Amino acid sequence: MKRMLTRRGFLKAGGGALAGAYALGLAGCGGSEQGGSSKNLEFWGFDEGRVDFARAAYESKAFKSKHGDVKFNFRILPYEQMHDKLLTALVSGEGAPDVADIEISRFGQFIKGDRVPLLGLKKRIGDDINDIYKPAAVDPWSWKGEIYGVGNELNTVVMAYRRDILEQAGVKLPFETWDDVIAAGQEVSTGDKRMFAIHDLSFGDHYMLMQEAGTAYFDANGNYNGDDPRSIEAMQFLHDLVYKHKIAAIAPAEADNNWAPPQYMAAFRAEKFIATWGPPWHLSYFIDQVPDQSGKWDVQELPSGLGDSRPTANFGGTGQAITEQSANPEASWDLIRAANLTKEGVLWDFEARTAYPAYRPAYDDPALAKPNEYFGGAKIGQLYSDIASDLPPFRQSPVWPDTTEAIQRDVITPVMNDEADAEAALTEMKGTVEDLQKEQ
Amino acid sequence: MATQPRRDESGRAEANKSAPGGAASFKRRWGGGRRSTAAPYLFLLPFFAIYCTFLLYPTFSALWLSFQEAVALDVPSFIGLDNYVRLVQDERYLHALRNTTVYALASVFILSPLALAVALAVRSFLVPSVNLKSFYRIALFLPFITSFVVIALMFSLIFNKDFGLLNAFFRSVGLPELNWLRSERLAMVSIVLVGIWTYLGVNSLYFLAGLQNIPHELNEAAAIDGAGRRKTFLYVTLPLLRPTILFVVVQATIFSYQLFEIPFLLTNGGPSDATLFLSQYLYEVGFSQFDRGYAAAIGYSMALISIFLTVIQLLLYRRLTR
Repeated sequence: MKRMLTRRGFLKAGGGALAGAYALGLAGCGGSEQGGSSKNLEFWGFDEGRVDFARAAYESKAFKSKHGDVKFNFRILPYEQMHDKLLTALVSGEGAPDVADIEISRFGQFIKGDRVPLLGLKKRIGDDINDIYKPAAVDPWSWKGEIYGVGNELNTVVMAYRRDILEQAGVKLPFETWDDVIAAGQEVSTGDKRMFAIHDLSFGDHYMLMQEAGTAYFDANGNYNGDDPRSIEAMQFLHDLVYKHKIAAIAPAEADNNWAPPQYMAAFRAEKFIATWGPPWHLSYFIDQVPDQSGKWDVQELPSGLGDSRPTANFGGTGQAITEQSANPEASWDLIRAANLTKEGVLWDFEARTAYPAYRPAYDDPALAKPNEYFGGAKIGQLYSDIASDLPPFRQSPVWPDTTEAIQRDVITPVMNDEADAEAALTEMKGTVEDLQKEQ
Repeated sequence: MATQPRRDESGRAEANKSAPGGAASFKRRWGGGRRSTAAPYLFLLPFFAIYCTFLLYPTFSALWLSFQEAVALDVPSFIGLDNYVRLVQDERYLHALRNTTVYALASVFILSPLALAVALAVRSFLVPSVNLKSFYRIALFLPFITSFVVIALMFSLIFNKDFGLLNAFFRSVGLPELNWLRSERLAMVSIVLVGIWTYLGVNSLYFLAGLQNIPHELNEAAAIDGAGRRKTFLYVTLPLLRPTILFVVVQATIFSYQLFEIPFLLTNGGPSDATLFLSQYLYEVGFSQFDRGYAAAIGYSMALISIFLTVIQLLLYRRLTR
């Protein structure tokens, strides 16, 4: 018998198949083990360079010799999306990767509440803790005595300036004090040219200089400390660079890229600004995006004259963490170790992204001591390691992201636009931060 | 071999005759022994399954969440209406509500009349050629289907203080340069301008469709009665456009209370919250502060405001058309 497939029959079969497939699909959503099996692991990152860094650790002998049969799937998602998705997956209990990059300013979100959804790494790090600069490598991802992430970058802040222009103006270099900087700035700031570009949409400049002055947004007990006189001094100083001394202008940044967007770098290319301060990742923008000024720049430690006059500060960084959903914590940890706690791992990132390592055993490698061509032959690695011991501690808080956002909104933007008083704004912020802490 | 389908047909006829509304009818309706009657439900099943999973379930789940304290990974606890009480005490929420309402008012009172003006212009003698009208229709629709990311990128360049198109024009005519996105006074104006650019075209098309539905004879009759262009517009065109006006206004209001991408990408709510909209505040509370219960309450407040305003507009419309 030959049965004809009628139109109705076809549609019925199709409808049934669709419904069946959908039901199976739904059932399948909750059934699979994270990562497929303990041999197939997942890594999430938001920066291509950093994911390459993790990939290099995965390919390294240190990892392969222990876990030759483990496969890592590396995913890159946009910054906001990756952190939001990671948090959502951890709350829902499903779908988180084994290892994730967590940016320093987003870590606070993971320690809200009583339960931290990441694995503690303190025991695993063991004695290696003595080989790293803690303020850069683990403090930002630590909470209540436990370590939840490890970073490789030593984000020591230094000052960089155009040596050629300043020497031409008869300025004595390097600078010893901020007063010297102001005097030099007044020599070279003419027309629409200024020495510095100060950010009014980011807390970064204030955060760096308040650390030089000897304080931070939170004290050792997690209380708001932004109203400390040294913090106020730093904020007032930034304001005065623009409005009193007139040696700085507001940085041409924008909302969705509030640090170094194309117009910011273009202004340096056009020599509208000739000096800056920041950590290695900040200076790497100049090497990549202002290449025609290679050899004309120089670096030095931060000048003295603000508060306690520390020669450096700590700004930025990203750490690798293992989520509580990891199907293979041992292999996940060995990836982190290979990347951050081996000479091979950290030197790979120094070569690729000029990320100066926080892992001290790597310091005897000649690659780190090489003169830097871009910065006029300066031994920049030597400078970083010389001032590394002066790095102030990083004090994490569950309200860190909300606090810095509020400071940007209610202190930095109005003060840097000459619409608010630094002392009043930073003092009023205390109430806002206390409210945020109460809501936790 | 070809008799099988005929037996089916006759069998169905028998069942219809013997027990209308009885057990056979139930079987027929739900497919017991009559597979063909279940087919429509099977076809609808995927849609309803998706609808229930991705819309109904999250909607009710969020409602339940809005009555709970659910911060970070802590176990949620029931707190009744506390999240809703917190809304009226939260200065940032009220500020965001004010900003969103200002934008909604601009959408209704600036964007909608402009859209009507553009529709009238396209339909009028200004654009006589049929081909040109088609071009205008496509051109008007393009901004609406352009990605918000592209729009934000484009306007960040146009509004740029130092090398933006707008300030270049201002310079060329001797006007002072303005800090479009960084000034607390101008940032909202900039967002409204982007909104107008984005939605003007599509709203004009709605009005254009409305205008085309007005019988030409009515205009002719008005002209014979001695009505000029102005009177014809006021007493013939405008009253007949009421359904379209209502639709455009309701749409504009709802879209305004959902606005997220443009201010998020262009100003990130700044400077100093000058362009903080409800949707961005919800995002901040939900994903930055990770206060899921309160974020759900903000979401429901937005929905309630939109429903309330729509009902008001519908009632107003009924009164006007009575």
